[in-house]
Amino acid sequence: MSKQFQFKLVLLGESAVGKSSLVLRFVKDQFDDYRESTIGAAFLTQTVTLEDQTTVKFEIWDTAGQERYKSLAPMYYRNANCAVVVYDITQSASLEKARNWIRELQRQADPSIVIALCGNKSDLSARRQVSEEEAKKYAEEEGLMWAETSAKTGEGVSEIFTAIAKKLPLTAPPSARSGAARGTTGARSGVDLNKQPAGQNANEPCNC
Amino acid sequence: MDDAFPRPEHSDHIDVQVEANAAETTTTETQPNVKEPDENKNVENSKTTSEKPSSSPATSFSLDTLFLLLILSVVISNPPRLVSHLLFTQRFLLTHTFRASSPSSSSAAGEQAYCLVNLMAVAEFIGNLDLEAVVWARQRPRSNRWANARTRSYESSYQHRSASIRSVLSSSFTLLNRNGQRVEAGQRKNNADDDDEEDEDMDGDSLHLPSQFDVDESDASEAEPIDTRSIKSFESMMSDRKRRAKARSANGNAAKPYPNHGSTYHS
Repeated sequence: MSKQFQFKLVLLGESAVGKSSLVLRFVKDQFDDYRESTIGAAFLTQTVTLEDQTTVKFEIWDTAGQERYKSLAPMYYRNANCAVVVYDITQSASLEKARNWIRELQRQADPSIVIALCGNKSDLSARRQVSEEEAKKYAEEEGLMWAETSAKTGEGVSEIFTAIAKKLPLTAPPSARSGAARGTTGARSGVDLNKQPAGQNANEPCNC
Repeated sequence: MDDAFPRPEHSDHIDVQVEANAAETTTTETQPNVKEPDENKNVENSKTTSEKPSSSPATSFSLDTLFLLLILSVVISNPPRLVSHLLFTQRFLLTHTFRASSPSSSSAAGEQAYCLVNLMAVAEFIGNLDLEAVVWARQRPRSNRWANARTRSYESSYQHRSASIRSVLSSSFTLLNRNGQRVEAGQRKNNADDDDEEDEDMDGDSLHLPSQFDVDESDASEAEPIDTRSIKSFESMMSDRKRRAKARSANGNAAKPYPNHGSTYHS
């Protein structure tokens, strides 16, 4: 019996490191279930099938990488199950940005979030500024997944996403499965017009 | 296979190409990607070019582009009570998602959530936009008089303006605040505007609840009594909002200028 899971994956990283290209390569190379969208590459879904016939569906949220939008990022990574922080191996500054993202995620995102550090543009290793050892060491220190990828050649792209799919807590209860993609808590299940408001206000986090 | 690969970026290009062939009116920017009308090859081909977003603006339709367009369209259209509507939609989407959480509908819900978050982010960005900095950047000669008029505490924040944007609109407008994120802009606003109240506690400053009604930009201009008078063009920018706000307050409907203090926050 196959299980289905759905996870929200958010892409972070400086602009022009190839976030969108990476996810386009990932989504393009494998089967993509039918969907219509007018958002372009900003929102994509991709399903990964693991060996045990478990299917993991990623909802991939692209983010705007520019610094001026940095304060908006929490809206995007809120309730994300996994984050792919992308840097460009030909630009050491992008790794610094990636470190900042990772620090922020560790501080503010969901504690169970799976973070993957992804060095993109590995096909341009001639212009490499970030050594594999440096990034790998950092990832190990922080307990992150790490891989170098090339959206251009496709090297390592599906591997890292598959690795994320494997690492994600597949044993999560069904309630957290689809709800975790966007919900807050299961307790907040809408407005009950018949309830007495007095007792309700005490424990329901109604922000209105 | 065709339906299995509906990557919007590419299908968009294909559509554009078809349209260009038919009407010959569209730009030629998309042409390099779609040399081969053969579908899958075409996708393959446009993919490789789209890896360099800077090379051709039309090939990359990622969020970097989309977000700018969204900001522009929101600013130009200036939808009334945008935040109220967004919050309502958010609540609706949340409840709707939980009720209908079948796998088939949740995919669409994810995309809707993404759309909504994008629009909320745009509203957040515009709401926190430092209009003064924009004006200041456009009118450098005025900046001296303006800066000298400010108090010391303001000047300190003034130096950090590039690092953190100051809320021009009411802090009750802020969506991030609503969701429990600390936003420096809230504090900064307090610093700058309430020079006499600097010693008040700063803990709750960034956590304002929006007033339940009229979470509208026009309320915000009421909460901004100082700066709007010191800069002429800024005032003109805000005059429309002020007029609306005055009309509103005449109806006895206006929000408190500073709902900061004493507001409660549940997380």
